[in-house]
Amino acid sequence: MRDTEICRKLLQLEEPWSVDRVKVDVETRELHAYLVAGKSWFGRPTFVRPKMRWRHANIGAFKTFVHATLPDDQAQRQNSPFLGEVDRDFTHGLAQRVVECLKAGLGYRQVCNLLEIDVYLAWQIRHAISEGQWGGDENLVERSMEPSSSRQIPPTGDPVWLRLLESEESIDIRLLGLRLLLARCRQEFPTLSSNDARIMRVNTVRRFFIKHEKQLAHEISQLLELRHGGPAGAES
Amino acid sequence: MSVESAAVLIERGLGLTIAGDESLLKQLPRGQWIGGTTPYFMTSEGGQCRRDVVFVQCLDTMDVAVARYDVEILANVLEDAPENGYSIIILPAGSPVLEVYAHHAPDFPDMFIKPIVGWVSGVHLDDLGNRSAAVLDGSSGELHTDQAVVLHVRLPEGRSAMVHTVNLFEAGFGPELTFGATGDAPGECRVDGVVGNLAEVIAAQEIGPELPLVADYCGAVVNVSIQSIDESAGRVNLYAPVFEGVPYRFARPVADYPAKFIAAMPRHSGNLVFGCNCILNYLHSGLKGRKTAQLTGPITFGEVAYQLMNQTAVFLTVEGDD
Repeated sequence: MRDTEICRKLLQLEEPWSVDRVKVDVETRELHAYLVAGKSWFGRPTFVRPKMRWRHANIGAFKTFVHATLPDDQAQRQNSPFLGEVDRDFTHGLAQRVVECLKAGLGYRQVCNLLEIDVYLAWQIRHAISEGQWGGDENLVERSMEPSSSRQIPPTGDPVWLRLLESEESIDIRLLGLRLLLARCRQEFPTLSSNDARIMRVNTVRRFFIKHEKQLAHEISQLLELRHGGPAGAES
Repeated sequence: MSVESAAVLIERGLGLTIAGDESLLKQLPRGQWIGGTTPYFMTSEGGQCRRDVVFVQCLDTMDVAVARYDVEILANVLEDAPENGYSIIILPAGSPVLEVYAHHAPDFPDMFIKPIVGWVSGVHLDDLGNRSAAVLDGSSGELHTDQAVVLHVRLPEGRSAMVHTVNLFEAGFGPELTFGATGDAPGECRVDGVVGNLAEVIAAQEIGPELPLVADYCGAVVNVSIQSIDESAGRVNLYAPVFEGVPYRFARPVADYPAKFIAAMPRHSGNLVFGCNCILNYLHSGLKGRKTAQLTGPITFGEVAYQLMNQTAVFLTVEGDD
């Protein structure tokens, strides 16, 4: 059986979904599954397809990430445990697993440790569960909470991201990758007609901040200043 | 270094990028390396054109993977990259795969999130029109003129790769130029908001071929260099595309490039594992026999620092997170 077919079964995919490619990183214990729905996307080359990336429940000892383009069909989005929402970094299946563990009496931090969920993802999932999704409620999470760790990087829904991307707000950036990414997103942002597309850009920039947090103290401090209404920083 | 010395490093299993003449690259044994054709190098002794040696950049790790990408799968390049590490790409000049990278790399999944650097292979300027630029997949020993080769390098936890550029060009005082479509052979453009023609702007402003168009990307200056002007068609052929909606200006001239380059290099550049500089800087700025600080590497026909760059020196450092 091919690796893509095994992965399809492990993820419990249903038609029209299939696994296009699988990348397994033994060293970091990560499994990346690249999903497609149907055989083609109207013949358009792959690089024009907006693709999301969500953390899914582990497969064995491997942290699992699903990469896919969100379908237009809302029902399909919500009923597919291997998909997530445009403004979230996790799948419905992972959130459901968290709720099950909380209901079984585990503390929130224990659940995060068990499922290898980092602090940013943990905050996102907690917030979503508190809104009542996946059979959770605010009390379910609050009961399980220990004193929370500090969070520096704002969540996806924080208005600071729109402020950063919509305006020419000057921010002194030292990392070349962030300079190019932010410039690109700012160029695109006014032309994006769908809210989903705008949130995806926010997610991408936020992901950069999370991935490079240790190198971005200077930029994060400006982001937080911008969040509180102050000037972001000097022109670079 | 000689082919024999490069072979010793290859046989030790180390990840390597190798630049040199095609005939030399083809003599190297199989291993964890990628290569590209160019006889021009920046060495510790200065800029050189040599057909009898190869230039090797040793990544001091065996934790690498060699991959090849054609036009169809090029967009997957960063999805294939390790979560913590970096990728080095070599693309052949004049190939469709380079054209796809030049136009679409900013839209590839994980672009800018994961570090990628690299260069465009070429040929000796005396061989232009007679030979093709090529890349080599060291794992198979195969030479390609229509595919990109990539070395994906994994880093241990606590180490991060940082991409840097040294670009001495700054926007000049000429008009602002914008383009209605992304492309590498623009004709019509807007000149300070008024419809005009790029070739006519170059003629009217007496812009020399050494001066690129420059754009400001949140503080990063990105160059687009002039290849030729087709006066009859009213078009300007560029070495990289101009992007729709991005404001450009022609750069100011740079005097004494080597001295300014050395001054522009960061004093503490970390553990520099990869570098390259542009053939146009070599030609226009008189780098032959001149040194450019600790930045050594191939002299190239386009540089990659995430996206395709022109007339820019690119280097990558590996640094501790603390």
